[in-house]
Amino acid sequence: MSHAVPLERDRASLPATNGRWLDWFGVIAVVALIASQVNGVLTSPPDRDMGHLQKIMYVHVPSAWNAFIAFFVVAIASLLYLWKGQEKHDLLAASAAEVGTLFTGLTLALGSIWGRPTWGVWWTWDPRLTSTAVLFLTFVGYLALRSFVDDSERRAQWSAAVGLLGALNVPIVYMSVKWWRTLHQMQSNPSTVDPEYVIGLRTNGIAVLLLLIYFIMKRYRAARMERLAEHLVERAALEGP
Amino acid sequence: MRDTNGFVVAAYLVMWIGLIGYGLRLFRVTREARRQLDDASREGKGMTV
Amino acid sequence: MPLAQDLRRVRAIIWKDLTTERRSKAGFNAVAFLGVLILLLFGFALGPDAEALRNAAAGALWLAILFSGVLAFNRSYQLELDGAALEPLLLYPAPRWTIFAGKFAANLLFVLLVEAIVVPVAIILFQVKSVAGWLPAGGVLLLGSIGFVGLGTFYASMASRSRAREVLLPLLLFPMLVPVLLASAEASSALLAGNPMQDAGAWVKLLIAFDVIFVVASFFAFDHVIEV
Repeated sequence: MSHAVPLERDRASLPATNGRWLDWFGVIAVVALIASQVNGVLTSPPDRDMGHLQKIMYVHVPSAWNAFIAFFVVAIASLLYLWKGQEKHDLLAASAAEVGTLFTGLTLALGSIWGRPTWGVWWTWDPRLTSTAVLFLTFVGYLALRSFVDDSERRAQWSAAVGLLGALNVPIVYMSVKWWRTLHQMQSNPSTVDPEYVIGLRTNGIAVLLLLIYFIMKRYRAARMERLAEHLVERAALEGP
Repeated sequence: MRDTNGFVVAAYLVMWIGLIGYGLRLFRVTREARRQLDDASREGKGMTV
Repeated sequence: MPLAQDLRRVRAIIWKDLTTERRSKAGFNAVAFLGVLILLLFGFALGPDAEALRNAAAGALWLAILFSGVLAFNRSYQLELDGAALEPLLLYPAPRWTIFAGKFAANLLFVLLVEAIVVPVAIILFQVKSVAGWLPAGGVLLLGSIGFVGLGTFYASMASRSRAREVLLPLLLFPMLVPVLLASAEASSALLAGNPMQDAGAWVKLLIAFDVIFVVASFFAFDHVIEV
């Protein structure tokens, strides 16, 4: 079992030595999001059942999509780390997990806000929402594990294993909850989206995706800087006064 | 539930508070990381491999 | 390393874990009594109405098993950690899966013994009238326990060696057990309500699939997590 390859040698190895390009990308993402939301809210007609509540879909659904994308990144990065042992994959996984937790939490909150006036309840044990709740708890467990382990290689190996198993579990949870609900003859929420809303969903989805990428890359960059600082301190300590 | 518009507003508010809040946290974390890196570089007298 | 040698090693680890447990019989008794206590609390929480209790029986049973069983997993690594015996165990040139297999088997036996006490108490306290087939019910219990113990043994190998181990193990483990809990509780419920196997059939299939996927995944991942 190869030991993790220490990533950093010097500042030049950092991704994008100047964070300015990244922040401009962030500005673009925010502008795109505002534009998509304004467009969605102003141009989409009220739904025949939900009325204006439909507009919540433009924030709830893209959050959900991107939460799952983030978790997908965690799974891939974890796999890469277990395979190649390069620290940067561990740092990428951790960054994606943090951002994923944000979007998962938002998905749950927004789903709740949408559900209350629509169904009369703050929570339904709907398969998608419930899977998202389990995903949220899995992310939180992942981050808790990282905070309770001090050794960097141990933290990386353990996080990768936990992240992968967690990812494996999500589709199984979704299927289980779906069966569970049909067994008890629960009404399933209609999942068909009127075609007139699809464009709004897609543009918002892409805008949030841009923001997701920005957040992950910025967090990743900060993580690399932290790691480099740790390395430099270690090396200085080893080499003595 | 006549006043459904309140819920729509609440949803967008929650979204933006979440995003802006995390964005602020990111800037704070980045600043902290840069400070750590500057300190560490000074300590190591800027040695590079 | 021939397989026979590996299996001997597994057996040795099972024996070691169980005999240390047996010498501290207090450990087993405490966990079993905790399971009973949890059932009692559920009884109080869910009310004296017989129908409500019967409906809740399978769920309460499985939660009692999960909450009391979870205590066993960290303990199975505690023995090595206290005696600083984990390093010598790892220095010995044998495949790591034998350690996992040994601990998994020992933990499974432990949990099954706890269930031997908790299940009859649940049937009594929750006024279960009849069980449609003891063999299928036993099968569901076994399958659910395998999933529970497999993942529990795996996550405990990490949690037991980190800070805040008491909260970290449930925090990591319980989200993973959602399918097991659903499937086991539903299948048990169907059997306890006197429904024959076909209602429980789909859940049993899910349990089997879950067990296969996650026991295999745990075996592979154990290699990575035990080394560091």
